[in-house]
Amino acid sequence: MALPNEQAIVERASRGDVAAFEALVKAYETKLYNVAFRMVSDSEDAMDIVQEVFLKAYQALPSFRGDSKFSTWIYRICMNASLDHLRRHKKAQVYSLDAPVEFSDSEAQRQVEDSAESTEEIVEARFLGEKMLHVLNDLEPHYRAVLILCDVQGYSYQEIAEILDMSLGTVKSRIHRARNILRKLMDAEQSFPSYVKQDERRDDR
Amino acid sequence: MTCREVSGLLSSYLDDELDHESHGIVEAHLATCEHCQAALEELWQVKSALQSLPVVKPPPELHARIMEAVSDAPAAEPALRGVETSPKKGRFRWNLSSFRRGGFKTAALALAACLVIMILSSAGTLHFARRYYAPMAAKEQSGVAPQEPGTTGSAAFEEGGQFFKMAQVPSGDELESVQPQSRGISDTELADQYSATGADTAGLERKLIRRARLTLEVSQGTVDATSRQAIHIVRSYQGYIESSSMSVDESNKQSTVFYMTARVPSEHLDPAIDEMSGLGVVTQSDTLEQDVTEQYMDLDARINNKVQQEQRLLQILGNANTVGELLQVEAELSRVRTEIESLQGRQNLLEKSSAMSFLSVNIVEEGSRKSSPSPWTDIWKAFVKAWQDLAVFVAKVSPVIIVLGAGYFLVRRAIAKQG
Repeated sequence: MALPNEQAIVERASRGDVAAFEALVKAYETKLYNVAFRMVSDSEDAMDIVQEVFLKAYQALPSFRGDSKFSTWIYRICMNASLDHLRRHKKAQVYSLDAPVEFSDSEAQRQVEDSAESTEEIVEARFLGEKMLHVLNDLEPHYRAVLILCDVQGYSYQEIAEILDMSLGTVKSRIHRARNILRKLMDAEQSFPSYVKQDERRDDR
Repeated sequence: MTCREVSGLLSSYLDDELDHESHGIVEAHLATCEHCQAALEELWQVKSALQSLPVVKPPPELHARIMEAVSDAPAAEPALRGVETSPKKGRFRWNLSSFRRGGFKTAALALAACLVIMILSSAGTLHFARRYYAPMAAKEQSGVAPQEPGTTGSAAFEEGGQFFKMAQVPSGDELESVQPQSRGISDTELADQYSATGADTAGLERKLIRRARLTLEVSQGTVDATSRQAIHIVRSYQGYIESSSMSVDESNKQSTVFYMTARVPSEHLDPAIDEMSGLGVVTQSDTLEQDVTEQYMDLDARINNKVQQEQRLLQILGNANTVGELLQVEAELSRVRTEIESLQGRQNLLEKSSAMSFLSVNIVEEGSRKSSPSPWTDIWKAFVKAWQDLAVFVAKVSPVIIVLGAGYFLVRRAIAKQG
């Protein structure tokens, strides 16, 4: 995963060697872009985040003391940036499908466009991975973060604990809960098209 | 082990993150429990679905964008050195970390606010000083109680020469006066300003506010007697004492210090100082003159203006026909009258200040000054004072911080519950 002589490259980059830093960028940009993209699910936002992460890393590198691995360090910056981004754009993004749209004198149920239009897309959506994309965004950011690191990026619990700055126990329970929630979301997605499921579930209660 | 306990470990089992012992227990339980097998299967589906997510190729321009941003950036900004490089261990790690991330901005904001308060308060002090000392002080010298300039004057004198000098900075950009280089404005520059003012007001009777400060050293045990003589001198020149105090110097228990502020008719200020200088050894003598002629004339013009307005209003009042008109004119009249009186009050204050000069006198015992020759004493005092001020500040803002902090956590909690 890491570059063969990463430590030496990091050291050179921290002294302001741009070529060495570019090697680090090459080694990590795709990984970080994937993390950010899965977190915010928007290509443009993900690019902004990754750019910001490398800029921060470049400026903070002289103070990077190397008591954690460089990869852990830069993943942490990336996760924090992504979570920050989500927090900042939370209000714009999150709205409930259940909540009626309020007008000045009346209200109406929200109509959601069925995103799976073509036959091909419906077929594709049967693949687990595609379905996962739909539900992953419904997961709360902190749960999404642990699953992206654990299952998508293949990090160990210990490394995740370092990246997200929490205890091993928290990582364990969070991953477990995240998977269970995701499981339920996937089941709901499978049974109903996205725009029906909210109402149906409400009736089940 | 019960199903419930095992089901909590299933995710870790799946990720091969259990220790040997727990691994064996879970495995043994799974062999017998269909329910847990199904649960594990479900978790595995989630995991494999996530693993099957394709790796997205970043847009080709990403690399160029990053390198461009990096090459444009100034190398290693100190402000960003705070990015943590080692994970903290602790029970409340997550809470702390989320607080820390949000807290960075909060802390930076708080720091900035403190700085702004400090700057504003020092600027405020300067502004306050300038109102009474600067030769070209703002024309809007609002009405103050007659005794106030006296007390402020003495306070300024107590602060020592530095403050005295700073106070002389002509009014201009506030920030500029905070910078050290503008403190040391030379006497000639000041003189130039006087003459510039004088050009407009030449030929008129000058209104000068004079302030003098005198420090006398007398032989041991004669402070009391000398102070009586000094008071006597003030009175003999038709002056009066605004305040006086006799105290024992803290740093030197044997030394008595007398301090007074007095007002002396301007024409008698110089002879009074001369006479007082004979009472002991003069160790310090300052005088400061502030030309307020322009302000005085300005006030005069404004008063004239308002008086004419009042006259016109009185005429209108005589011609008023209806009660409504009458009331309107009366209201306007009383407003104008109030303004005239306030302007006259300020003019009177200026007149009085220029007629009666400020004189502050310090009488100390011989040798008392030598007791604290070391600059370290001052530095130490300033250090202690700074800490005391800081403690007072913290004590004063702590209730606000507690209330805000409580509110912040409640709001966060509410948001977290909602989410």
